[in-house]
Amino acid sequence: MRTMIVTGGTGAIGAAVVGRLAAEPVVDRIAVLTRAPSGARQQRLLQSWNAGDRVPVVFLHGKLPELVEAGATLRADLTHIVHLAADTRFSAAPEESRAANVCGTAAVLDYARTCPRLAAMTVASTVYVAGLRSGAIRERELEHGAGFANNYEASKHEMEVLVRAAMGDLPLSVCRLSTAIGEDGTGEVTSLNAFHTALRLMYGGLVPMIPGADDTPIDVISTGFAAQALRRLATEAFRPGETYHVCAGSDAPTLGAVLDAAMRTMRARRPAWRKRAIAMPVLADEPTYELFVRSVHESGDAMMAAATRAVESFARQLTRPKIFDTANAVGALGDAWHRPDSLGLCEDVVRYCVENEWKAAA
Amino acid sequence: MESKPPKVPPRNPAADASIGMAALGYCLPATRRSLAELRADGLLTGSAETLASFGFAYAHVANGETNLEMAADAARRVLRESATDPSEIGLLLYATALTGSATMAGASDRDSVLRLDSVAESFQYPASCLQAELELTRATVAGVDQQGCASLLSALRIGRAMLVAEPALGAVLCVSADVFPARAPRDLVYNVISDGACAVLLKHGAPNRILSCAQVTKGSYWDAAALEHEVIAAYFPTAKNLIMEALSIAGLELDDISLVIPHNVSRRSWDILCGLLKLPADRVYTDNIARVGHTIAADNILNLRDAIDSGRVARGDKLLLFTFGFGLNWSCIVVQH
Repeated sequence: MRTMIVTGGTGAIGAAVVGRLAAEPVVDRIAVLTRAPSGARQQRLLQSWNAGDRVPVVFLHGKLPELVEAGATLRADLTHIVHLAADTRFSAAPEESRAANVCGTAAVLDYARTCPRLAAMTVASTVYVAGLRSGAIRERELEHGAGFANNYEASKHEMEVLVRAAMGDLPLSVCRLSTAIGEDGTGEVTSLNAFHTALRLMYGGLVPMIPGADDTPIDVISTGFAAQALRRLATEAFRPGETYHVCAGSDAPTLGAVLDAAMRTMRARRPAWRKRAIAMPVLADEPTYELFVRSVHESGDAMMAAATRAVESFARQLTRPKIFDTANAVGALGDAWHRPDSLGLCEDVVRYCVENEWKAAA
Repeated sequence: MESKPPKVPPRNPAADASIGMAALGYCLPATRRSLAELRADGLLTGSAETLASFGFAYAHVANGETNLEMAADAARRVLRESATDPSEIGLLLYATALTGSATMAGASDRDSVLRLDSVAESFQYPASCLQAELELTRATVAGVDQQGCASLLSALRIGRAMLVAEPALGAVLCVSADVFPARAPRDLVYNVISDGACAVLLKHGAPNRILSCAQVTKGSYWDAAALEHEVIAAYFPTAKNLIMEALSIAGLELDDISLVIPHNVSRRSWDILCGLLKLPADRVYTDNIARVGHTIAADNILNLRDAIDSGRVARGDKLLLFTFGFGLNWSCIVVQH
């Protein structure tokens, strides 16, 4: 039987992972570490996870460095750790990103070393540890000198270096996730990120241009796809020392197709919006986009500056087209790997955002 | 059963017509103010340094000259240089960007734009006044307005179409003139505004043949002051799309264009638009942005005239005139010199 700790278990992907783990017959206890105090969302999640009262899920409240104390009672029985907790804000200061993503992970690794029965620790990362590289990105690759688009990417890269160093003495694997944007089928969004912010600005007619080319791949996945893959890679498909890309990979739609789909969906869902005759953002090369951004900041226009800054946080990624190789993940998941329909997902998410005025589901 | 013949798109008769700009002229007020002087006079709301970094240095400010006087001056120059008898003109198109410019009050009292003292003044038209002043005895008149800085290019498009539809008109004189209210700030959406006027004589078989015209209006942005951010954002994608459309109508590629004749908005915005179009910046005539500023609707003609006079344009060169006006309106004309 498995006794598990899931950090970051109340986030969009984390909650979906815990829900799937709680339904497994071989899991008999899950502790969800959460920084936030108990709230209505946690109560709702607890009810949904513990449906049927078969698997007791409990919350442990505290910051990651305090995990050793918070999880002391579990130490002797613990078999699995799924470490999802992270500061995913692109705009966070370097010290904030490092504190959560590097120091926090170091604390979890320290805790893991004190657990005598630990069989598997899975660490969630991002495919964007590849930073500003372009071209094909292999799962085994980590080191590079291309730089990063934001502090989140840099801190996750540093985290992976730490995790790889610990692979010698701990049963560790890394799951690099792509950008999860919503649920398959419904497009429901439980956590807004830069993708949704960019869509909202586009809908408001505040995005004149986007860096990148028509054929730039946009790798996005559903929260369900991410959660399903994580669950399996953390349990029955776990292999120590491995790194996986959980992403659309070669199935990623292009920037041109995503923009077309977004504009088409916005027009179809909001007849009143059509009257505004908002043009699709034009695609710009990096120097032109940077000149535009500089001009906006120099003009002192606060609203345009804020709108531009929201796109700036990931803009440079769009000028570094890359395809993430998924051979390792596909091999490990076997029949459980379902090719994601990322373009269909984008349309669903745009529709959800328009209809719900960019309010995340509770 | 007899098969239907394939649909052939109707040809635009204007495309086959050799209508060109027989003469071009402009008039600027004699008074030229530097950014520092405008700032000292309280005529800038933003930073002079920022405006300078956007390519501006001076603005021409009317000091007693009215828009009607400047329009007449530009038109006389055109008639004189083309040796055109006033009686040859069949149509006078008077284009204005500011709503007040279409009234005599707007012309005579720059502080009272749109504040007319009597109903009778509402029926006093500068186009008629100009027709009489220039002795255009055969010309009928029409105003072209409500298209901001795109008014003059719109007048050229209408004038060309009228010459195709009614060849007996002989020649169409397009005139534009605007004078900013005296105490209004001269910086508007990061541009520095000058007063000025221009005139263009359209004729069959004239040089500067118009190869294509394209224009788009987005009325949802009519309240530009309330939607300033959205206006800025709308500018670039629509500008790029319209320029490509104008080239397509003319059957040309951007590489066929020897020189872009711009509106004198910030040089920075042209650098960005060039980047989006993949157009080398030296193929845009930007000489007048610093020394003249943005003369509302007269920029393209002023720049075309100066580009020709300075030897930047060779015979046979294809040129692209582009402008943008409140309303919102984007307008583009492709000509062959």
